[in-house]
Amino acid sequence: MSDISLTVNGKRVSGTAEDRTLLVHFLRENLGLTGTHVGCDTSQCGACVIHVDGKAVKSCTMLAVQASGSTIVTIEGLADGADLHPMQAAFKEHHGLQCGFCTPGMIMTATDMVNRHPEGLDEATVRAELEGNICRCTGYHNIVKAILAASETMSKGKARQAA
Amino acid sequence: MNYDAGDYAASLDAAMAAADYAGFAERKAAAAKKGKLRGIGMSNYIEACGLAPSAAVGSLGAGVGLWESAEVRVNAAGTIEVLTGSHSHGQGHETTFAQLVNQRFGVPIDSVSIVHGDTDKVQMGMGTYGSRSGAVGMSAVAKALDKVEAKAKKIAAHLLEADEGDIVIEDGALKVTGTDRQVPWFQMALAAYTAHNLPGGMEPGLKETSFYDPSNFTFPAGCYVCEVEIDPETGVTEIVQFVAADDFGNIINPMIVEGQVHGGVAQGIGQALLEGTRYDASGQLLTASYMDYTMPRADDLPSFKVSTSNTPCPGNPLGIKGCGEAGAIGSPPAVINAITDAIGITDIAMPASPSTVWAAIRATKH
Ligand code: FES
Ligand code: FES
Repeated sequence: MSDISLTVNGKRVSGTAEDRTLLVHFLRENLGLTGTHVGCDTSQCGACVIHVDGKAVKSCTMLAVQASGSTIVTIEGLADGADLHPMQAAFKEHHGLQCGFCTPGMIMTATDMVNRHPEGLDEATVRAELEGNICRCTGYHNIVKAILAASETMSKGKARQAA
Repeated sequence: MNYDAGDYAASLDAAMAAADYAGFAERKAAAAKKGKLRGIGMSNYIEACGLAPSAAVGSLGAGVGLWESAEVRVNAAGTIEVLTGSHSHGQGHETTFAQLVNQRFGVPIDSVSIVHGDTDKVQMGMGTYGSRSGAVGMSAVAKALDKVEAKAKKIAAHLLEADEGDIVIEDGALKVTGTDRQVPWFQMALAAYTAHNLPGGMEPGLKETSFYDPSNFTFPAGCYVCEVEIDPETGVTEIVQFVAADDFGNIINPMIVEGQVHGGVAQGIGQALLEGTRYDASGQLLTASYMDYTMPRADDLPSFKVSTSNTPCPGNPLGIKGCGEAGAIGSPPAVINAITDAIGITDIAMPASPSTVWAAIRATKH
């Protein structure tokens, strides 16, 4: 057993878990943050993507102890109160989800993608970088549309902040 | 059972135009210059949905009837709860069913809630499959709305001292046609529950149930066109364009319908190109996880060109045919026809993986 302490969605949290506990299970079971999903736990589907120290990570592929000391954002931490994050709003607007199982991971991957591409995104880049996220419902069509739209909004937001 | 209504030629024309079928020869020649094999494939499908007349499935040995049921509860405050036997696991019933009520009574969409999937509350349902939630489940809702409407008009006529036949429902109010006399929807609902002033002999309350048993299957149909480019050195097939043109009958929510087609097309392309289960000689499944079973990913697919035509289905009150399976039905033959066209063969096994395609190309050279 190990003591684990980290910052999750802006809050300091700590807990004890077996060394073999996956980060995703720690989030879901110890912290009750069930927005992060487990679709495969073999690093294939991307349903478990969260941000660890600002980078998109498949939380089924990291041990909870390895994350101790880091700063984590999960899907629960993205919205600002009742105001959806621009990526969440775009998924809603463009019907980027059906059953919603892949959605938390898609949105966390997508926000990271936009952050890594300040120059903007095109369809081919979005599709290539979504390679680690599987969706069975949408055929990706509206997910790609939503990410492209959110990327526009987010860069406009940045420009406003800078101005 | 008869094919009832459909404009099959409209789908064919729409698909060929969207795919620029006429320009294919030029695109094929351009691809050949890059050393790629380009092919185009088409598939025209018709399917049986909206399952199903209970007597018909009974004669085929089914143990259940395939009707659906619905209850519409207008509350005293005018909000409306719809209890449906159809279940949503991503098909958007909460949206489309609420739209139906909104279109019918003009009440705000936020005042309508859809209750499903709770067997403590909902009497019974036969499931969401075979594109039956719209054609069968919503038809049950529509029938319950008919009963609510009839009673609401009686109450309004009584309150407005008018003839029941002169009452129309518009913009969230019940109006005496041709006059400015009206009673807002929520006031009529309150009157139904206070029961201070109802027509003689009328039961208080405003809550109605219906069962709907379809008289026929529905028959969505459409035309799908797929264009591929194959790298003959590797056997890798790229879908360069995909067009779907469907006749789904009446549509309540085009965005949700298109989403259903997108997902179906992706699944069909997966089936045609990537997805296959493999067993070893002892019967051990070798493709038991996503490590080995190839799900289509975003970069395996293009954006799709999707359109619909809308020949109302004569078999149900809403004219709905359904759209849930179409994408997955129409796409595999279109993809395979495109591949066989590109290679110049008549058949190839699914999934047409790179190794299968590469071997088929090699075989044409011997
Ligand atoms: S659960 Fe982590 S990638 Fe599937
Ligand atoms: S919305 Fe169902 S898996 Fe993506």
